[in-house]
Formats: sequence, C-alpha cells, structure tokens
Amino acid sequence: MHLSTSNFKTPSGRHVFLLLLTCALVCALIEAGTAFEFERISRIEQRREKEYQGALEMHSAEHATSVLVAGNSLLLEGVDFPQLQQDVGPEFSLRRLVVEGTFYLDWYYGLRRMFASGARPNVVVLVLNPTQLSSSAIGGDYTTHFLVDKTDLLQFANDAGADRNRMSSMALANISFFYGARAEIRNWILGEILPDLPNLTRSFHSTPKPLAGTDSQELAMQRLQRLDRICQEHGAELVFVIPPSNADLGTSALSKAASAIGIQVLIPIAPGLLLPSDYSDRFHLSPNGASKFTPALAAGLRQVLLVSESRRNMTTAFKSGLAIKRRLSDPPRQTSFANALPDRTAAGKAVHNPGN
Amino acid sequence: MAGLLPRGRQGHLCVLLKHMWFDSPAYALFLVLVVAVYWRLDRKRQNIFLLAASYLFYGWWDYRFLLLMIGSTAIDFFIARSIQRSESQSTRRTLLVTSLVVNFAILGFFKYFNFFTDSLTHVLGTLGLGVSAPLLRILLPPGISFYTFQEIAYIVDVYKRKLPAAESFLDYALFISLFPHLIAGPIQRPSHLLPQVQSPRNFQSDQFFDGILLILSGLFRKCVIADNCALLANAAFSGSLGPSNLPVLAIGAYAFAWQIYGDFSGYSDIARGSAQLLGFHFMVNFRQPYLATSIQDFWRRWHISLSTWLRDYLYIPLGGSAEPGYKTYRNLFATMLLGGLWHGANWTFVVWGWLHGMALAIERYFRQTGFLGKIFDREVKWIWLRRIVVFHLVCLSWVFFRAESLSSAISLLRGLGHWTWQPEYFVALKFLALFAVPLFLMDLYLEHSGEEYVLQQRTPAMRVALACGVILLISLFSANQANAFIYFQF
Repeated sequence: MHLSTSNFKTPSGRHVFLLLLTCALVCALIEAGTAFEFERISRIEQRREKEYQGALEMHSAEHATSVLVAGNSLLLEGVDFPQLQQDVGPEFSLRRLVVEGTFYLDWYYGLRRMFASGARPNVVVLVLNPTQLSSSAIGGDYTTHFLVDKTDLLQFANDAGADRNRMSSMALANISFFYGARAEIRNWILGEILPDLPNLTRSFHSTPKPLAGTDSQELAMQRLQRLDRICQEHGAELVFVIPPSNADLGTSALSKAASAIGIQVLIPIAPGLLLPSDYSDRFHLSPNGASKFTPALAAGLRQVLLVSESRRNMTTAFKSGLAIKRRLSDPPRQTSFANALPDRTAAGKAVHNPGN
Repeated sequence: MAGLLPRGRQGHLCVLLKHMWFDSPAYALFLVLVVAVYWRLDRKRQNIFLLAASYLFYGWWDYRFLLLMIGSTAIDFFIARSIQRSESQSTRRTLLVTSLVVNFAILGFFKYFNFFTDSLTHVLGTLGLGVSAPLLRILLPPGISFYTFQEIAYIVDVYKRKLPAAESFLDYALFISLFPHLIAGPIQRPSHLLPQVQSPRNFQSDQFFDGILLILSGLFRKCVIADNCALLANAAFSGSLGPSNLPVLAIGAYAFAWQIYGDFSGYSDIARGSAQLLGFHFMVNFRQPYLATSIQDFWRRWHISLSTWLRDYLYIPLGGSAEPGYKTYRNLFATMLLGGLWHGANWTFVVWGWLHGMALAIERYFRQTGFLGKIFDREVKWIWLRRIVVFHLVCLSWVFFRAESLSSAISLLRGLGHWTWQPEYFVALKFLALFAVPLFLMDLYLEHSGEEYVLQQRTPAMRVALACGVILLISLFSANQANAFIYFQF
C-alpha cells in the first residue's frame, strides 16, 4: 500500500481522512473496550456493579426488612459489613452500596435514579459526615455516569455549581462509559505502576472542615429534608449516619436540628472519642477503628430498625383495618395516616447516641 | 462591570471570568462545527463567519466584555487609519500617544487599579498616613493583556510604517479576535497574521494534518503532563506534603516547573493546531525552554511571542543594549519588571520579573568581563552544567510565580535550610518522574530533530500511528482535573 511503502512525507487529503478515521476508531475502541473489559479488570468496579445491582433488586420482603446502607469510603473502611449484618440480626436484610469519593449530591441524585429504576428498600441508611452533606462537591465524572439519570443531569450540574465547561464534560461523562470511568482507569493503571502511590495521595485529601455558621447548618438541614422526602415518596425511611471524626464537624448541632424535624440521625460514636491510632489517615478509620465503630453502629441501627419495623407493621395493620372499615362505611372518610404513626421525633431521640 | 465593595471584604478583587477551555468537550464540539462550516464558505464569508464564531467564543460565558473588546478594536482601527493618512509627524505622534494612553488605561483599570490603590494605601499606612482608598470589585476581561498587546503592536507598526493600516474593519477585528489566540495568545505579530487574514486561504491537507497532531500534542501536554504535575505542585504549595523543607520545596518547584510548561506549551499547541485547521499559521511559542543554556537563551525559548514583543516594543525603544554602561542594565530590569507585572497584579510577579532581570544582568556582566570564562565554552559537559544551573534558577523563580503571596513564597523558601525525609517524598518524586521525564525526552528529541512535534518529518503513516498512541495516552493518563489553563488568568 502506498502509505506503508512510500517515503512521501507530505500528507494528502487521503491521509487527513485516514487520520480522522483512525482517531474516531481509536475512540470507539476505547469506549467499547471499557464497556467490555473495565468491570472484568477492576475489582472496585466489580464490587460497585454487584452492589448496585443488589440495591436495584431490593424490594419490601415479607420475611425481613430490607435495608440499603449507602456511602463512600468512610463506610467502606469504617464498617465491617458482614459483622454489621450479623450484629443487626437476621430479621433485617442489609445490602451495602459504596461509591468512593461521593457527597450529598451524588447520593441524592443516585437515590432518585435507583428508585426510578425500581429499587424499593424499606430503609435507606446514608453514611456521610456533615461536611460531605453540606458540600456542593460531587464525585466527578464517575458518579455522573453511574449514579445520575440523564433526565436529572442539568439539575445535577446546576446544583453542583458547574460552569459550561464542566457541564459539557458532565454531559459526555453521562453518555460515555469510558469518559465516566476514565479517572478510575487512570487510578488503576497508576496503582499498577506505582503500588505505593496511595501513601502519597492520602496526604492530598484535605481535612474536612466543620459546618461554619447557620447558613451551612441550614443547608445541611434542607438537604436532609430533601433526602427524607425522596425516600418517603418511595416508601422508604431515611436514617442518616455520621461516622466518627477527630473533631466535631458540626455533628451535634446537626443531629439536634434533625431530631427536631423528625429525621433520624445516628451518631454511633461521638466526635473525638476514638484514638488517633483508630484512624488510618485524617478521617478514614483503620481496621482497629472499624472494629469499634461497627458494633456501635449495629447497636444503634438495630434500635432504629426495630422501631421502624413496628411502625411499618402498625401502618400495615392500620391499612388493613381501614380497608375493612371502608368496606363497611359509606361514604369512606379521609384519614391521615401520619396521625396514626408513632412519634418519629421520639423515635429519633430514643436512638440518639446509643454508642455513648 | 465594576462596583464599590466595602473595605475589608474584598477578598479576591480581580475576578476571572470563565470561558471555553481548550480541553473541554464544549470546545471540541465548537471547533468541529466551526471547521466544518468554515471550509464551505468563500473568503469574504469565511472572515464574517470566523469573526462571528470568535465573538461567540468570547461572549459565550459573559457577553459584557464583548463591547469593551469591540470598542477597543474600533478605536485602534480608526486611529491607525488616521496615522496612515496623516503626513504631519506631530499629528502621527499625537495619535500614537492617544492610542497608547487609551490601551494602557483600559488595561490598567481592569487589571491593576486595585493593585496600585492597595499598594499605595499600604505604603501610606506604613508611613503613618492612614487613608481609606476605594477598592472596586473588577471583573478581569479574559484575554485583555493579550489583545491589548496585539493592538499596541499594530499601532506602533503602522506608526513606524512597517505595516499599512488595515482597510477593512472586518479584517482587523478578526486579526484581533481570532478565537484560537484570543484568550491566551500566542501574541500574534500584525505583520504575520494580518496579511493571512486579508488574503484567501486554501485548504492545505498537510497544514490540516499537522494541525490535528498539534492539537493532540497540546492535549497530551496539558491533560497528561500538566494536570498530573499540578497534583504535586498544589500539594506542596498548599502544605499538604507537610511543613516546608528541602524535599517539599524541590517537589513543589520541580512539579510546578513541568506543570506550567506542559500547561502553557499545551495551550499554545492547541491554539496553533486549531488555527491550522482554519488555514492560518501562528508563530511557535515554546522551543524546549528547559534545555536553555543561559537565562537569555531561556527567554528565546519560553513564551517566545511575549519575549519578542517585549524586546521589540519595550527593550529596544528604551535603548536596548546599544546604550552604554548601566543603561543597558536599566533597560533589562525595566523590561523584565514590566514583563513580570504583565502576568498579574501581584508583587510575586514583580519579584519573579526582577529575579529574571537580575539573572540576565549578571549573565551579561559575566559574558562581557570574561568572568567564569570556561563556563561559556561549547563543550558538552559545560553545556549540560549550564542547563542544570539555568533550570534550577528558573525553578527558584517559579516559587514566586506560583505562591499566593510574597510571604508564602518566602516561608516556602525558608525550607531550603531544613532537611526532613518522609517515604512519601520518594513516591512523589517517582510520580513526578513518570510525567516529567517523557516531556523532557520529547524536548531532547525535538532539540536534535528541529521538529515542531515528534515525528513531524516522518511518513504520514507513522504520524497516524503516533496519533493513535497519543490518544491512548491521553485517555489513560489524563488527570481529570478541572484545571483552567494557567495563562488564561493573564
């Protein structure tokens, strides 16, 4: 062929076409390769995909209350999940969904997408620290692809304060598997080349800052209410878990305010109680810290779940009673179910700080 | 555009407007659409379309400064026409001065008003004359330093009769605002770009082919080299690697050196490549700067479009090196100080410029007196020794360029006298080597081959293969950082 044998160095129109075609082909191959190979190669992706599919399959089971425990690396490293399931008890079916580097916005839109895709857990347990709750940061292109629905993309970008450059990047990430996963792919390759790289990147994490001022606390409250609302709309209860931290990131203020409006916030271990050796870096728990946090979380969570279960049973009983009543009475009366439910504020207060 | 802010709440006084980044999908889409439509039009319509596309590019994020740019363009267009028509030397000089005053006034107000007001207030406060000067919240129009310098060059060239004034406002406006160079250069010489705008452009496959490869080269430099090095530079300068000591300082300075080089040369490559897709040629802006054997050589290789501008429109008019004795040194210092200040309204840039002026002056003194004579020999060992010394001097000056303030630069430099070793530092150096060494090797190759990008003189098939490799590297190693190009802020 002319191209391979000639030493003619000036590109012709045909070469331009060949170059453009090759670039397009390479991009298509990368996209296809990522779709087929990424999950096979990456253990993190295998775990995430398995957990995500598991979350989508969650339905209101008759024999056990289904509980989705979602969060980021604070959950992954801070909780021994098999131990948690064992401690909470067999009457509760726990499933975990961890997406590293995620914040409030990722989970709000992630839950929307999961509910829209048919996930119906009885209880959603979200593990984030107060800073992550009030932050407008997002997990990046990865969560944009895997957690956010196309129809929510514009709103997600607006909430994240993305400018138009970032919006165009997010739009591409939402469409393209490769573009969404490229940061993970890069991290995986770099990890293969420099196995000790995590020792360095750990120092890149900035220390979380406490919620400063009433605006920030107000924002956190609004966000909790927003999360609670979307869970309620899909028949689930929200439990917000604040993991241990070196310093008080506004935990107690948030918890008090949340209790006042009936949102359950669990603080299994209060800030500052664990030793520095219980942390592997500035805010992730070490295995030692996880061995302390897991039973504390299990104890608190079990109480919440028991209350939740009894409330659900009462609601079911009330519903069947009402159905009988409706059949008997004519015309049927309007009844507020909310009045028949146990006081959620009291329930929230009852489980507050069980680990302390 | 500007409004009074209560004193004490100013924070960052100059707010940089956001605009289209060359490494964003938005720009890729924009460029593809523009190129696809552009080559279907005749020359007259090509210019109208490109001007509209350039104004859209500039005004897409914030339309407010379009009027400023159009106004500034119109003033210089008409002044240049008047200079051309006038036979009276005094009238011509008056018109030139008027244009310079207007251009510098606009640049000075938007870029330096708060800097000078704040500095003056500080000095008066130190002298016990506490005054409260008003500070304005001023939005910095994107690319103002670049297009102002281009307009000044045009006016001066017309005044010196090196160039006839443009007859068509459309052509002149396009010369000023052509989108590939609009935001961060390269600063185009009127004598180079204006004739290209004024004459028909034909599709040339080799130019188009090279344009695509230049864009890929630029993306590699920006997304792979610069953005990865930025992780280390940011960590070192923000204190995430611990308190300043020699290893932290070295990691920060080396990482920033490769970051800014990858960033700005990457930007320039994308700009040049984009221009070539439209049938234009832009001047080369970087030529392996870290292989410079002297500071003077460094400035022949680094941001060439700015350094030659400063030479031709500031240093030489001041007298250059033709002046005897101390005046040459004065001219050097003045040029470098103003070059530093051009980069931003901060004393760190002034010190950066001063350091380069000082280094150039010392170098000149050594050359003239024959002091350290052997050092300037052309033997390979001396060449490499000079390269290493020059690279480290440049890295030292980058500390001021990168630091938020003079005090933070000085506190980082205090680490020169402290040595603490952590295992993470070795990982950081390996990480830096992973991204800086390929660029260094590329530079060595380009230095010897004289090419503008790797394999430029090889067969098209080899270059297509190179493109595949580069796309793969960009895909796998892009740092995925939302980092604007550093020079966008200037």
